[in-house]
Amino acid sequence: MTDVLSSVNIAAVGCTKVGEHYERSLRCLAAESVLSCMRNAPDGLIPEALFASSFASDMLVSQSAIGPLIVDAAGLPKNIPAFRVEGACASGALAFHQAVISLAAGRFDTVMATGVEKMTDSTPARTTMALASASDMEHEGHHGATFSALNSMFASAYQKEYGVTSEQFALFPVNSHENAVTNDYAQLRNRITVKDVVSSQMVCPPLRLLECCPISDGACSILLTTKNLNGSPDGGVRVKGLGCATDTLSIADRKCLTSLPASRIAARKALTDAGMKDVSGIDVLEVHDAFSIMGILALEDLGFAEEGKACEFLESGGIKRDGGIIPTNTFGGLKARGHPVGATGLYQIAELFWQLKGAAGENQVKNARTGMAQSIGGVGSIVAATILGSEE
Amino acid sequence: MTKSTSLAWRKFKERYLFDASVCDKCGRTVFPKRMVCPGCGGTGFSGKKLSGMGKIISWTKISSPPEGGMPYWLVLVELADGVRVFGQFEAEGGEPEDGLDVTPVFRVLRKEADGGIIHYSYKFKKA
Repeated sequence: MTDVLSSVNIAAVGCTKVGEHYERSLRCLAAESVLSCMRNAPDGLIPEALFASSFASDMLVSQSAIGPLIVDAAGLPKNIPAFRVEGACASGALAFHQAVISLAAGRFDTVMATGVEKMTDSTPARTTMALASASDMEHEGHHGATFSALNSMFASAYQKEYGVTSEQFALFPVNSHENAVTNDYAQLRNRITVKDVVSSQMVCPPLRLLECCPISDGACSILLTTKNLNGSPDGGVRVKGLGCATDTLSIADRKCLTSLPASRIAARKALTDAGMKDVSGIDVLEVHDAFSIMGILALEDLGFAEEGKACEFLESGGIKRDGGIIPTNTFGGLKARGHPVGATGLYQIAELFWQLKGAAGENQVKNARTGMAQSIGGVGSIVAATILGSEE
Repeated sequence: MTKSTSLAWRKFKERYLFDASVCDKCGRTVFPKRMVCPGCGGTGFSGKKLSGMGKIISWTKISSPPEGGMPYWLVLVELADGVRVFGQFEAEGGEPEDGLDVTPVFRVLRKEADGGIIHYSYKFKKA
């Protein structure tokens, strides 16, 4: 599998700043990311298909059919095929996976994957309902479960099971914010402290405001190809592994509230593709810290920390960009770079791309050769894991 | 939310009466009802009414309800036969706690604006 996937090269990436872009529409954001990507692309690469992702454009801005919309608005080659991919908050990563699979199958030589989310044209109430649609609407949403509420159940179960505190959880968003300080396109670039986090407004106990990611607009495009870049079949940033797994939609049907089995399975699949027996060979990590608890669980489910030990790992500086065992969320993660839902999975992959190319500027992790990204949809009802490697 | 009546109408028995089913093949209680048994993949079911009594497994509070209104508690309850359901908690006489025995009560869940549907369902209170 690794040979087939390794034929896929990331040729270029482009993205918008993440934030509240009241002056720009969904189609403008998407177009901006495509144009930026193509400006960064080697000459002569023409996308033959688009894999498009927007989690909730239908609910948020009443716009469906975003495949043809983006081809049209972004000036992609006329009449190319477009495939929209959806998997809740993992939509962007899944669009990337589908793009890779289409190239590995030899159907196309060069494709574009574009993720976009426009959340600020909607009211907070409508946005919250749209986010809740990633949960089980009949059995969770109907009873008034918000997305934050469902995540908070995992947080309280974990804290109870392992005797850890919100102060310990807070280390995760503190790290994410630290990394966003030097990220020009991040939404939230302020440093925060543990005290800031635990004294912020309660959202759903035990989760507080500064443990929850913001509402964001943004778009990210990635150009992928099986053509040899730089005149050589080797080199560049290549796909080493893909893994995707689902789990029950409702968390009422889960056996436990302290782990995401889909995360474990997806990671295992990606590692198997990459010929890696564990994560010790991963140099840089981007995980789905929509809520602090999800960052904590990611470390355990992906295999970077033992069960119940993620907070100890955080306390030892394990995820620090400078000197940590596994630099994590190196551009701010969902919490600080932001979470334009349908684009997020692609932002993570773009961030790994910059790390592996040595193009991460002040955010550079030294000697990053292999990176992993994890993107979660729903409360772990679908998880996509991606491993990239550079040959340099 | 929608003004369409058909979804609410389909769900009456489940939401008002705890109308569940039992898998003919493996005996698992399935609630809410499904087409396919999540345990064994069987597709034949017999009917069963649940009492709705159970124990709180986990809970939280929605401090800022998206549609406005007062904060409310959400509980995850384990009913008989291991079935777990979400519901709101009626907190007269105390807040929810893990392990608390609860009993169902029939309540208005929400009223849609502009003369839309009044949704009823079970909520839970201390037994």
